[in-house]
This record gives sequence, structure tokens and C-alpha cells, in this order.
Amino acid sequence: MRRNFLASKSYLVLSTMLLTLILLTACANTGDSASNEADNYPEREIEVYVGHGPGGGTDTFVRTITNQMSDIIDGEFNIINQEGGSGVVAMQNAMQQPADGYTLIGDSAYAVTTAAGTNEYGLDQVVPIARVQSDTYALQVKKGTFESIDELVSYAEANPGKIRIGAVGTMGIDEITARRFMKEAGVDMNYIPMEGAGEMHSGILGGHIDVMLEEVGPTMSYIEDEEFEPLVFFSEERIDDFSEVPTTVEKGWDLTDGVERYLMAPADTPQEIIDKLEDASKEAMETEEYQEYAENSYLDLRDGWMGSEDFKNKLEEDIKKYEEILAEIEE
Amino acid sequence: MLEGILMGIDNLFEPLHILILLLAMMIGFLGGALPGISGTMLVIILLPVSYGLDTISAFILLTTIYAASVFSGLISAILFRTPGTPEAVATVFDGYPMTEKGKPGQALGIGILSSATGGVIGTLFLIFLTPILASFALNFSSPEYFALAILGLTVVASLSSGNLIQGFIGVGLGLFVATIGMDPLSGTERFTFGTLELIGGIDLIPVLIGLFAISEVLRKSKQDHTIEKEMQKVKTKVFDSGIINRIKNTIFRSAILGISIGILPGVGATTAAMISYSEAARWSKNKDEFGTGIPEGIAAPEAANNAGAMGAMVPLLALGIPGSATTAVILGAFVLHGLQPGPMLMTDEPGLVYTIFISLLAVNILIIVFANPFIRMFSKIMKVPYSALGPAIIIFCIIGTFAVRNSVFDIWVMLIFGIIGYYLDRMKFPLATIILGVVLGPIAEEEFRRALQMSQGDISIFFTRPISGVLLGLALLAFIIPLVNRIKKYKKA
Repeated sequence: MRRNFLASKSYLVLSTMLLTLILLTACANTGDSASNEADNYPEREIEVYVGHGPGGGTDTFVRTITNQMSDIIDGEFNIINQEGGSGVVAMQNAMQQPADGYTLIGDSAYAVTTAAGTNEYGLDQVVPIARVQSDTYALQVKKGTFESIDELVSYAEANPGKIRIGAVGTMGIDEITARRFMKEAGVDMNYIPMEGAGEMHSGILGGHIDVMLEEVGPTMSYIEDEEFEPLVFFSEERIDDFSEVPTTVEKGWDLTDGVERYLMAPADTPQEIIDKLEDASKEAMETEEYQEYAENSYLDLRDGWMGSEDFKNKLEEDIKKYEEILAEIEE
Repeated sequence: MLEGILMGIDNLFEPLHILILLLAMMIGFLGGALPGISGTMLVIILLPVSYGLDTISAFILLTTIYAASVFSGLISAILFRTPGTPEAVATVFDGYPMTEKGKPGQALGIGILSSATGGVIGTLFLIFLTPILASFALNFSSPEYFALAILGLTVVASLSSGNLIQGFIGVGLGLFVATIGMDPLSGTERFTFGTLELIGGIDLIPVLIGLFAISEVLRKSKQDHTIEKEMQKVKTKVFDSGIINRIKNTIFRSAILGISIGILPGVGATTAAMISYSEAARWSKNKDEFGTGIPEGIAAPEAANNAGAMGAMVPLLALGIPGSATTAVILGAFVLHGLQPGPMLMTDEPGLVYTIFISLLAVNILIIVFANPFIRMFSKIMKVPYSALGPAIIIFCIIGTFAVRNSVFDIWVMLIFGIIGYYLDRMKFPLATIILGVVLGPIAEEEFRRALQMSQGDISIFFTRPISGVLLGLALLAFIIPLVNRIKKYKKA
């Protein structure tokens, strides 16, 4: 009898359904109620939602900083990559978890996605823990095509729409910065949204695009190999290693924004835990290992550190600024 | 170069490195065999482990896992119609029918042989031709990617097992699924109905697992089960001279094709397997038999995906440009280990690069050695009554699907596609065509639009560039020739 039952159809259907339900419940992660004991924090694994693909700049940042932080606060971090909508999907999922300090968000596009309206969680619902990196953009070309930024600009003036300028993605900080550059410099270029940095680099190497907006960290190897050449840095002061390359401010263009990378948490997270994490990220940033990574990847061109309060204010201003810029672009 | 190879061999044959290689192979085998657990995911999971290792050990670990998982995806694809990794999707088309014919051992044997041969050919190209291949890949830009995707799509006829109209419906459905989510070029939301979950689009893996694995479990649950009937003997025969003679050309051609597609940045081994299966079907004398469980149908995608996976390492190591999702993670790992990926990597770190080469070669050769005991172990599962095995497959499908993006929503997508797949299967609908659309649709769409943006709307960009022109010409021929043949047949009749 028993054997028959085990082999029967109804058993199969029943067991399948039951197991499906169990699994769905398990995956839904109900979580405990928020504990206010910041002293004991962390008592279990901390999950960090990253809205960008593994291996990219934001992901690498989160992995490196949490790797150091785990020694400092004596806890484990688990990185969850959820690509899509420039980090909006990861944000949405993180916000469905309890705000108990065990769910954090690693992001780099918050100000833009909020200004664009794709992210619905304003600064009343999420708080920054700390900004750790403030990267510097550069316009880069294949060596031997354009000698200087002036040459590029005058060529673009003479041939409107002919220069193909590449940057990663659509309506993110990359495209916005590229378009602001065109506006500030008074030139008309053909904007090509690239799928990723790799595709963009091969586009320059293969001559499929003429100029790209990219930080020098990921392209350092090409620059050393004399394949790429930065023409202008988006910063106030010249960069030590590239003292011959001018800056946007020198050229009279008001463009110094770059990609910022930071950790955030749901706003209801206990303040003590936010403080603890803020301190831990500061300490993590100062470790030798982190500094070595920052130096290798040229992430130390500007001071990246900004505490929770200051950065919250900056984000507020940035959101307003991007709202205006986006409205202008859409016109 | 010889010096580098010797250095690589020297590095690999340290006891610790050999141990890591074997361990990584086991992890890769196991993970690849489980549906949903792809090589990409395993590499991500083991990233933190790699921090603690020295650079060479770390990259032996990560690259070996990758190579082993691309191979072992075929096991569950052939035995359970559940592709263990996305790369094994095309292996299902002929692998599972062969199992249904009662020859799972033969199917696995062909898969192993083709994988290992494809992998070895791929690695040899990697070792000796990396700089040349990398500069060839740079000729590919948006128009070429578009043309390649279109050429791939024209194969719908040979995938639709005689019913062309259903084939077109299938591809159309696949293409539609691929458009859901945020428009990659303008950021507009498409078919999301205001839901946030859909903004991220429909991932390939839930569709894949739903259509093939879940629908099959549902179908089998309707069958009458007696435990005796499920007692199957899986005898793996890797070397069978008759079969080897039959498939050796297919393996060789597919490996070359796999490499050529694998080296293109952003395409990867899944597309390589898909296109290679299509081309094998197109050029075969017995194209009507594809999809019914013939050796060529297993050899083509398996040789291509392993070769393609090795090909994806070419732009990574030579240019610092990832050719696939997994190599993108490995690129991140280089940064985490303080290395500077890019054109200087081979000059700056020859020891590391050649050790990676040699360990990839070792893995692909060891596949043959280890595959037999591993499959014997794995196929014991076939003896489990389906009333227990079916639910277990579903559990693994759910865990695997969830793990891709940590998304519960994806599980629902998978279950829905499971039900769709079940009914389509009953109508003998060619499911493969849907996958064709989902895999190639995004490439075709994005690259078409990006190409037009590059040329500022001038459509001639597709025909004036030599590679893209030739590929599109081939696609046109591929479309017209079957039509002409059919008209001729009608006239005769």
C-alpha cells in the first residue's frame, strides 16, 4: 500500500505543491523584528543589496569596503547583486526588508534615479551611511586621433554631430555628464549609449566610437600601453600623475561631478547602528588594504570620504540639481 | 611563449595548486549540474574565498570552476531536460530526446567527448592565438553584432521541426519576452504595467528552466509511474568509434565557431552554443532529424559552448574586456586582487596568465578522466522513483532561479513559464524557438538601434561594413534558399 501511495500521482502533486510552498516561504525571508541592541550588532549576517552587476565599479567598491568592515565590526557581509534600472530594483527589494541594520544598500546612482523619478524612495526613507568614493571623469580618446581637448572641440564645432561620444547607459549620470559637457563646450556630438565599460573600451580600440567619458582607473592599463589618452579631467585641480592634462574648470566649464559610491540603509534603521557602520566604513577606508586598492584603481584622485549627515545634504542638493538638468535635457 | 608555457606548467604542478584545481573542478562539476547554479554564480560565491589565497591560486580556483561548470551543465540537460547552466540550453534539444529513446549513456558520452574536445581546441587557440583573435574581435561593433544575431535567428526553420508557422510564433514570443523591462537605449519602460519587478526585465534562466524543466516534471507527473520502469541503466561510453567518426567534423566545426563567437565581447558561450546548434542543423544532410535525439545535435552545442567559454577569456586576458557574464566577474576579481586588467596584463603578469592557460587546458583534459565516475554517481539519481525525483527537480529549479537575482518574482516567472511550456509541449510546439528569440532578441534589438545611432539613421551602415555585409548576406540566403526549394517542390508536385 505504502509503496503504491508513494508512486501515485496524487502523492507527486501533493508533495510538489507542499515543497513549492515551503520554499517560497523560505525565500520570502520574513526576518525578525528590529532589535535595538546596537551593542550586540551584528549578531548575524548583514546583507548588502547592490543594484549593479558583479565585477563592475560599484560592486567592487562594496566588496572591498565590506571585506575590511567585517574585521572591524566582527560580522559577515553578504553581497546580493540585483541588476536592473540603475539600482532601482535592488533598492526596492532592500526596502521590503526590516530596517534593523541587517539590510544595507550599496549604490552609486541614487541622486540621478531619484531625480528621474524611477526610484521612489526619497531621503525620508533611506539614509546614507557614508560616501567612500568620489571618482573623477575624464574624456578619453584613442591615442593618435586627437592631440588635445581643444583639437577635439574645434573639430566638433566644425563638424556638428560627427564625433561619436560614448558613455555607459541611458539617462544615468554618465549620459547626463556627457550631455552637460556638450552644452558647456557648445558642441554637438552624437551620443552613443554603451552597454558596459568593456564594450565601450573595445569601441574606442576598434574605432567604432571617437571619444568616451570614463574614469582613468579602469583604463590605466591602456593609458600605460599608449592605447588611450585622457584629454581633459572633470575636476578643479590637475591630477598629479597627469599634470599635462587640463581640467574642465580651467577650460571654463562648470563640470566637476563624478560617480560617487556609498552605502545606504533604510531610514528606520536604529541611529546607533548607522553610527557604528559609519565609523566602521571610515576605519575600513583607512586600512592599508583599502588604500592600496584605491591607489591601484586611481580612486584616490579626490578625497572620497563624506559622513552620513554631510552626504545627506549633498544628495538633497544633487537631486534638485539633476531634476533641473533632466528637465532641460528633455526639452 | 614557450618560456611562458613552461612557467605555467611549473606553477600549476605545485601540490597546493593541483589540489585547488581538483577541488575547483569538483565544485564546478557539482554546481554546473544543478539547474540555476551557473558558473557565474559559483565564481561570485567563491570570490570572498579567493581573497584569502595568493593571486595564482585564486585565479586557478575561479577559472577552473568556470570551465568545469560550463561542461557539467550538460548532465542534467541530458538526463532531466533541465539545463544545469544557460550554456547547456541547446544541449537539451537533442540530448533529452536521446535519453527518452533509452540511450542516456550514449548521449552523455557524446556530450563529454564533444565538450572536452571543444574545450581543448578552445584552450589551444587561447594559448597560441590570443593577440590575433583579440584584434579580430575589435572589428566587431554594433552592425556586426546585429548581423550575427539575425543570422542566428534565421535558423528558426530548422528548429521548428517542420512547422514553420509555429516556429515563427515561438521566435516572436521569445522576442516579445526579451523586450519586457527597461528599454536599454532610451530608458523607457516597456510592458512593465507599472510594476517594479518587471523593470529589470525577464531573465533568461527562469524562462529556460520553466519551459524545459518544470513543464517536463508536469508532463511526467501525468504518466503512470511504476518504480520498475524508472530503473534505467546509464552506461556512459565516451569513446565509440562509429559515433566519433560521425560527429568528428561537427565537433571540429562547432569548436571553431564557438571560439569565433566566444571571443566577441558581450556575446558569450550561451549564444555560441545556440548559433552553433543552428548552423549544424542548417548544414547537415539530415537536418530533419535534429531535435529527435541525434549525436550531431549534442556534439554541436557542447563543442561550441566549451570552446566559446575559452574564447571569452581571450578579450579578458588580452584587452581587459569581458566576453561574457562570468568573465566580467573574473575581471572584477583581478581588480580586487590588486591587478590591473587590460592590454598590459600579459606583459606584466605572464606567470599568472600562462598558469591560467595551463590550468584551463588541464581541466578540459581532466573532464574525460573524471566525467565517468562523476556521471556514474550522478546517474544513480535516475534510479530514484520519479515521484520523489520530480519534486526534487522542482526544488532545485526554485532554489536555482531564486539564486540568480535573489528574486522571488523570478520564481513566479519560472512557474508560469512551466505551465506555458507544459501546454505548448502538448501541442508539440517547438520550445527551442522561444529560447532562440529570448537569447538573440536583446542583442539584435540593442545593436540595431545603437548602430543606427552611430550612423545617425543611415541604414547603409549594415551593408557597407564588410563583416556585417557578409553576415547579413548569409542570413538572406539562409532565408531564401528554403523558400525557393519549397516552391520548386510545389511546382514538381
